[in-house]
Amino acid sequence: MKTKGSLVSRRQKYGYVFVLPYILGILFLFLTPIVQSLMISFGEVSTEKGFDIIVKGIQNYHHAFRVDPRYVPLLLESIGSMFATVPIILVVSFIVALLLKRDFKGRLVFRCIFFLPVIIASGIMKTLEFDDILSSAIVPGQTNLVTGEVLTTSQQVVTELLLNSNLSPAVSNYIITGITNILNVLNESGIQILIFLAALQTISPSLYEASAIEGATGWENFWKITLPMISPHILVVVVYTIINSFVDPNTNIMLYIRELTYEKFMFGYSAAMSWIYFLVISIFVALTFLITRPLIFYRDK
Amino acid sequence: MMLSPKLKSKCQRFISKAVIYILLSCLGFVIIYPLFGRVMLSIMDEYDLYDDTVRFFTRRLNFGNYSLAIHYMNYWDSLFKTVIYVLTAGICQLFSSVVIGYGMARFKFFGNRLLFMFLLLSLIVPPHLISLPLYLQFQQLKLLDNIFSIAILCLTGVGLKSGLLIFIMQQYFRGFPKELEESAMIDGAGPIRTFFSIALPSAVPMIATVFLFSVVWNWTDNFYTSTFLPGNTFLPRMLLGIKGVLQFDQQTRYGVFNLVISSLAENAGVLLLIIPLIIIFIVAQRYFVESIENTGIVG
Repeated sequence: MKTKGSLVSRRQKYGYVFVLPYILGILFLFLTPIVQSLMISFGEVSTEKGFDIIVKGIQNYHHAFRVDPRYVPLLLESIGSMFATVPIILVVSFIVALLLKRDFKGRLVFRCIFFLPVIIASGIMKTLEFDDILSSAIVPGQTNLVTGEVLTTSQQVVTELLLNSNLSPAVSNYIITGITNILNVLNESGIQILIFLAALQTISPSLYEASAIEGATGWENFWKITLPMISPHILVVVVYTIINSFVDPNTNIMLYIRELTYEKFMFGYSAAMSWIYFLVISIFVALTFLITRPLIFYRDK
Repeated sequence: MMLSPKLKSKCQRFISKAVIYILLSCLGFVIIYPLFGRVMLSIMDEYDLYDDTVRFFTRRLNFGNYSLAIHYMNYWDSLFKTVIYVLTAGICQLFSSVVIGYGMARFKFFGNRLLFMFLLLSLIVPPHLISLPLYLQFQQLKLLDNIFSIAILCLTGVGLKSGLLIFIMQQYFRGFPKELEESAMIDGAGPIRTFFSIALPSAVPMIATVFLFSVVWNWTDNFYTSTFLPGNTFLPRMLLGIKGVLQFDQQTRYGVFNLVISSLAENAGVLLLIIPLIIIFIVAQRYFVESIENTGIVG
């Protein structure tokens, strides 16, 4: 009777049916190009006779760390800005999603407004500059609408207020960057808000009904039902936000890598820089998984 | 002072409503402000920009920017093509992310973890790094300028930001109670039937979100389309070209070119690009509102 296999192994085979397209995609359309780029990072591209790779060993990597004066500071800067923005984005988008989930008049309008960042932070919208000629008709002086410098006066007030208070400089600096970046933060939180919103909608109302019968307060509901039920999605959002803050095409390090690739055609060196950068990002993503593993509630266990 | 319990709860409700409105309005204002500027600019005349007394509100109402943008973007034609393209890519991405996400979440097969690590790697690797080898690959297959190239990428889960979509669905299905599916199995449903009749209906809010993301990203994307469909006339490319074409046209016709007019037309073009997406969202958003209470599944 062993011809049919056990239930478990038959289920396993069905798993392959579901992920088969992905295995093909990863093997042929993802790993092949990736391996090529890894090879390029250990050499230099020669276009004299078609597409050749001249192997140079770890020279490119050595160059990135020991010769190039710009690379390492840019790397550290991107790590710093990740720590500065990710927590703010997470908190803001979670609060907004909680508010948008509630039932109130005009909810559709607000949902539309908070959907706009998804568009604004996507594709060509991100690279289209607001013309200086045009912004002069809206905002007096030199301000740039896209970077959110329109709130300058209120920023100054807040900055002075924080500096005069007895908070430690580190804390007040953190708050100041949060406030001056509020438009950036909101523009980056569109996707997070929508993921949280959809996740909140998938929580079964019967859980809240049951807890209401038990006499639980809203505060207890939040910690014992809402948070655990959407914790898998919190993981998605944390990982996505971390990665997004690193690979945002407008960060200085990405601009630098692109400049070397497309303007100076240093394919080998820019590939090596990209690979170091991936390694750094991967470390942070792995750390996120390690730290959050005990905190995430899966119902499949 | 004693408040009756009824009055007290009324007060509480009023305060919580007020907090919601104030917070959302403040944050919403920050988002709306630049866009409001764009809308106001789009109905301005060229002379409004030279006029120092004009701030936001035009004195010379002018819809000419829109007609310029529509003309030079070949708007209706490229809108139609963009819709076809986005629907193709969106449906392929939706299908692949739901199926693959479910497979990775529900089945413990050999290599699942490895696949998940590749999934995360695909989130990290920016597309421009692998676009050149992929381009050469598709060139050999003679699939360039053929929508199949995009469809293949989307169906196999390596298209534009497909990794994130799969990740969302995978985490959703992992958080979904397994007992329901097990009871369906006991009743004799195979894994594929269980997937369609139990897992899918409950995932509607997530599926709507994933589809919406896919639509928005493909709609405004110029990277994948210009790499694999170099001859495309989709809206993003037309919008990026509008300034150059307009300037060239002005120069050949009048011998001068006017940066202001082309900037105004480009600005109107940006709004013309966004407006269909907002309409799509308004139509789609009710699927977020309908939570699983309507699907009859009780966790």
